[in-house]
Amino acid sequence: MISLHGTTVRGELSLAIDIDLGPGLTFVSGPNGSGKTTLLRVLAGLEALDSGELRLDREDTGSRILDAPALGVFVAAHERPISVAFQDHRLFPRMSVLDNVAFAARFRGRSRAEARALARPFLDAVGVADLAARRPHQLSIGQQQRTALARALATPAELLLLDEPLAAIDTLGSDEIRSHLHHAPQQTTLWVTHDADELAGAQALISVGDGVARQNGTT
Amino acid sequence: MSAPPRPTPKPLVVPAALAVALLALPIVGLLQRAPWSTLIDRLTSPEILDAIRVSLIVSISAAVLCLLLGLPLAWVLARHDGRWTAALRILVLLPMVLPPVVGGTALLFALGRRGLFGEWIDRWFGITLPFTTAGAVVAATFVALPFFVTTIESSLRDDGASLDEAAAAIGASPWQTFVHVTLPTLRPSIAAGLALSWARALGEFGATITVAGSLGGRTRTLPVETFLALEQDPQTAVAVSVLLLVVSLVVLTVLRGRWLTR
Repeated sequence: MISLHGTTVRGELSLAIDIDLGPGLTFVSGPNGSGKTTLLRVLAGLEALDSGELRLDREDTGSRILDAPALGVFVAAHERPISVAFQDHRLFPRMSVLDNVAFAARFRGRSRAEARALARPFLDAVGVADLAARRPHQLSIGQQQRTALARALATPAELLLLDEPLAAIDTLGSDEIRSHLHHAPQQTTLWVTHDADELAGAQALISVGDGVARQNGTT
Repeated sequence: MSAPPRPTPKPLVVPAALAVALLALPIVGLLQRAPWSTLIDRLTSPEILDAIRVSLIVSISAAVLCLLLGLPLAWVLARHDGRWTAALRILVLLPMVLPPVVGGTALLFALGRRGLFGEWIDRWFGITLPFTTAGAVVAATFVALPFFVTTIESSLRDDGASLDEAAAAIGASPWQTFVHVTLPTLRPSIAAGLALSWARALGEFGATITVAGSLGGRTRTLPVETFLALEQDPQTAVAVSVLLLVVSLVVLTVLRGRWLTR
């Protein structure tokens, strides 16, 4: 269970957040500029809370505070058990598609060959297996987004944060990926989307708007 | 398909032509005076070979020091914003506009045997800087460092911190990110920065002669040799100048070359 109750202020945007996330898929919706990305960035540790607390509760290891300004606690992004697929992809330009996806395993102590072998199923899952040797600048926007998604999925994490992961992928291709995402997650997954069809089938939903991010829906 | 030629506004033509003349005439003059028939002999005389050797040692050492010290500094400047980084940036740029002889004088007083820091550098490391090759290397590094740092910093800023975030967001530590993401992306800029700072170090005169003097085989670099030769043996001065001109042209060509583009 991940619980986040607090506020963050970034320039014009002030966001009050009140959410408790269980395992499985939760969609995030709201108008442009309402703070959906900010919510993900706070969870990821790319933005800090100005008040309140972000806590990770696990049955086996107990509770771990990730961000609590009042206590002076802030766990850096790379030390959190998270994985992010950014809206603007952010692929590493000097690595092949395969090595982008293998990167997380690589610095978790795997050899190059092991990391690549672990990465391949994720390329398959998002449909870029035949592009493994390409560099990011040789990909279409949709292919870049698939790769970014594969990289996020391949990273071992308790919390998976997806910022409009299918926005640049055509409907035909996105259906397969969507069903993959719906069937996979034991981990907690936050999925930012504008897509009405996705939202219609949502089991759990966070809506962001008017400076507030809150849960409505069952978990 | 090519764009149609755009007419140049007439008032710009004459000043532009004068600027070209100012840049081109000295080169024409130098090449016209060059002792072409004896060029190789002059450039392979023992004194000049010594100066070439000293210049290569000093300039390559300076470029390597620029890499080792300048890369971390460029990262700090590119990834932090604040009042103290603004002040730091002025400090970094200072050697670009400061007269080299002033830089040399300052280095001499700071790092000389009786200087503020020179005394304990001498005592702890046994390194004496004035009138030594090490001193020439420090002087060359001082003037070349801004060229390296600004090249790397602008490239780091272009890429922004977004790739750093992407790496952190899948669990890479700042050091892993630097080694596996930042450095490979910077490779073309590092090559460009090395070429620029090496060329600046190779041409360094004012700070070098102030700090290290002109000891044959130890601190007498090609520019210093050229300056000394002008009085006694102008033909040799011209020959060395032609050599340095060719090196400069090669550096510029390499900088525009494809292996430096992304």
